[in-house]
Amino acid sequence: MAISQEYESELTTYKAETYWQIVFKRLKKHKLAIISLVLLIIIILACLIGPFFVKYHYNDMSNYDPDNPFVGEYKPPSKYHLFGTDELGRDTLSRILYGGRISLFVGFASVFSAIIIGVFVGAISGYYGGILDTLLMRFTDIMFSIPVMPLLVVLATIIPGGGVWKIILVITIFGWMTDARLVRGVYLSLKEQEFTEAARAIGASNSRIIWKHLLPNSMAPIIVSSTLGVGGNIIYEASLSYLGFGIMPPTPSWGNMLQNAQSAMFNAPWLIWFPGIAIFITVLAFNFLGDGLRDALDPRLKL
Amino acid sequence: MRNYLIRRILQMIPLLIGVALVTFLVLNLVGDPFAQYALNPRIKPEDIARMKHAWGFDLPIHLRFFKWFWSMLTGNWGVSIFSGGRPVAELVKNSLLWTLKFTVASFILAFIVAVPIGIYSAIHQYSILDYFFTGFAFFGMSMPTFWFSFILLMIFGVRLKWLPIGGVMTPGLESAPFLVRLLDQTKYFILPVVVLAFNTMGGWMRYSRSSMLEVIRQDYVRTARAKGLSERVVIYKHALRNALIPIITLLGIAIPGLISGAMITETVFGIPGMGRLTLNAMLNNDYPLAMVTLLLESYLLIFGNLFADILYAVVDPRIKYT
Amino acid sequence: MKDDILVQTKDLQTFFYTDEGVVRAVDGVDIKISVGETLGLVGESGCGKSVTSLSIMRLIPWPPGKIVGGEIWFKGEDILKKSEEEMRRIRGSQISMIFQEPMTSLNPVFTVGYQISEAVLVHQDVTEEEAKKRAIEMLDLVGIPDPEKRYNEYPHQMSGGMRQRVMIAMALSCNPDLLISDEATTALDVTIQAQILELMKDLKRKIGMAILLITHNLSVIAEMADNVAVMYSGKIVEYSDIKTIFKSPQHPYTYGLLSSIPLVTKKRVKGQKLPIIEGVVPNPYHLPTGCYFNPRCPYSTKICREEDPKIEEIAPGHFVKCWNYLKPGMGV
Repeated sequence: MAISQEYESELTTYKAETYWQIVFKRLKKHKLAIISLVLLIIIILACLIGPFFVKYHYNDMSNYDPDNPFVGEYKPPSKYHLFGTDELGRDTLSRILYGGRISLFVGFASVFSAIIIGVFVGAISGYYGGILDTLLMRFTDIMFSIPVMPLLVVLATIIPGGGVWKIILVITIFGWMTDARLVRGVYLSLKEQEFTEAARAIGASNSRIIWKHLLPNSMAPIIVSSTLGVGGNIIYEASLSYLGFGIMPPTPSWGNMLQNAQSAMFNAPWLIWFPGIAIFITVLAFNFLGDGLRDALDPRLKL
Repeated sequence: MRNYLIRRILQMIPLLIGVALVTFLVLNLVGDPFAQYALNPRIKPEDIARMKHAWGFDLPIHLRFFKWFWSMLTGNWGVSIFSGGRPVAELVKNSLLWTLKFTVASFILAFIVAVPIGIYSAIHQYSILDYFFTGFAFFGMSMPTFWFSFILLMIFGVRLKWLPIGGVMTPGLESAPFLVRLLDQTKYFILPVVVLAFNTMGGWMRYSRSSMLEVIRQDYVRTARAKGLSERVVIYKHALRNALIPIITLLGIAIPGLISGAMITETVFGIPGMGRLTLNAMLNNDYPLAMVTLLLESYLLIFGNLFADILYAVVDPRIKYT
Repeated sequence: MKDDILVQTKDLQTFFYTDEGVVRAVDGVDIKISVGETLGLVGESGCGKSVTSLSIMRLIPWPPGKIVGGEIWFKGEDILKKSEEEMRRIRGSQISMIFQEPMTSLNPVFTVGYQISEAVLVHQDVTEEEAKKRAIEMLDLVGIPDPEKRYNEYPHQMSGGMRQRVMIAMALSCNPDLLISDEATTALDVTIQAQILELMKDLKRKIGMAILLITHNLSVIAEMADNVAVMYSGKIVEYSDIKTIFKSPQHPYTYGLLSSIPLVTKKRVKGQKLPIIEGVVPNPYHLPTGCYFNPRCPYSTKICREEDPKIEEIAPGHFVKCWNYLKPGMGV
């Protein structure tokens, strides 16, 4: 192939480092990814621990006080309410920290459940092939052919309830296909290789081969797609909530804090800025981290 | 070529039926969609019975599907009860027109901005501008569409008052001369088009960048240099021609994102398009209408992919038609 | 004698600057090729053969690679001092190159005929019609049947052997003085390989160009070359005419290379293994001290581990870079 790659292959074989050591070394060079990782840890910790340290509960309404112009409804940021208050006089900072728990939880949990379904479908499909594979992959194609947002809205309407778990379920329903295709691709390419043959020859069962021998080889694409997926799902949750189909108030999420924000454009712009920036920074960090992980794990991955 | 076309279209048929089946099943999971209507004193029981028959609710579910699917294919889409009994076809036609107007505009905008930038970034990999555009792309990908809309609205609508903050035309201009209307419309469309384009651009920039990066490492690019071609010819003729082939698939890949993005943009800016129609149908439990819009949007996506595949086959000599 | 030197590199150094450190891929290489001569450049993969040839073409990709020192004289001029534009005019017309991968070396979206005539068009003052005629002529010359029809075919419609013929046709379309063949036959089937080599020999007779033949296959060298340079870790370790090398190799590495070719004619004692060179090419980031070959060398002595030998002319035209080159009677 090209010269640089020729060189790379000539140079790499010498050091006896494990795969993960090399990955970590490469990731460390990706400054933005490392900054993002640190940032994400800070954001996650802030959302987990933060609510214990803020003065107001997320549902406390700050009452009008004739002597203090900074408490009450629609108050701009001040030392009493660092991020201001909303239409009910609730503290925006507290709601962002608490809403962060919800948004991040939705992001992680829906990625996690999508991986489980995706890996299962992809592994079965790729390993066994044949008619099962055809059927599963046709179904994946069908799911890919329905546009995400309309499908999300429809699912969010017909599935009863308005809680966190419903949103996770809804996002999972359309989210597993990417993982399924990735895993199937890896399995297809690996199942004919020597080590699979060897495992079969020593009498390993199919399920053992699928989970013990082949799954670790699908880790790289899964890790990258999940990292990018968490950010994507946070945006989906926010969009659904904005449209009124997401997490139902009074539980705050970054998305539903923005639900009524459009009317605040004129007199309370901080209600738009703070939750939006929280989403933006978090998703940006997940995207940079995912990008760095892809470069570190396998630069040839196309995700 | 003809054989390839035929095969490709034949492969599409199961997909079309499958999507219809999933749409049908999903929206029939709610149980009896007419239960809502029965509670409405303004709707007569005879009408409900008539509608039940029209939608095949007096049939077993598999026959109901075929009846529904057949009426979808023949364009017999019925009326929408919550839109005052207006024909669904008419509602869809109007909404689709609005959606197409601004999505096509933003598609073109995104394409002519993102692809050249991606190519530039690849040729000047690791340059300052490459880093800048990479950052720009990530910003675009990480920003929720509706939040970005708010910010633009706050700046250009509320603060500077340059652009209207929603809607599709200034009231009272319905019978104004064409140019006046066009100008007026443009003013309303600038923000939604920019928002939707910005949202899709990031991904496309990255895609064209990596496509070009992959090509300029290929052996045949080295061959072109070894032939003594100038760097300009090597890049813009030998490399670009190859890099543009996968970029064509963007035409297909772009459609789902545009449909999803349009739904949100339409809501923010009050454009009466397909996304809004679906939303309102769901909010009003108007399932027959929602089934039509969901199916239509899916078919739009499938045909978009078909179009991209055909285009791909036309420009890539390696695809064999036989 | 001096006058017919076509190419000569003097102390050529091409380094690659990677994150892990500097790789001295080519480190002080001197080779010379006379008009019409075929020089074989041999060595294991990673020894710097390809980088040497790409340096002569000035096609080292920066980053990470760079020619950092030395001179490359071509027809009495140092081409390292030439501008990119002047160099471009030399590439493909006076120095041409064919590569190892016939499957990927042709641009998939242009017809093969167009790719040949393009080379003619950039270097010669001809019309498109004439260029096309020339391209068809070249296709005929490299033994592609029905060249008019083949002109309009795309690379994917051809076999590997056919594509390599197209590459040769392209390389020779402007009658170059030097053809660099970088493992051009390695990826091909043995029978096709023989055909292509035969073709190159034949064309060389007709056109009279010099060839820099890069390969790790010694039987190809034996077939084609006039002189041989053996490379190891970025340096030339032995240089001589073909007969001397095959008859009395002096560097232990050359000896090792030669004795690892299985010969059907030589009777092997039952159970005797094919001699191999122990070990692997050294890590380019951590080269051994002294002679780079010393960790693998069966004749290594104290000085080999301490000091790198200089290349020495041990007989007229026979250069060896070794402290203890295999003097007659050393048990070879």
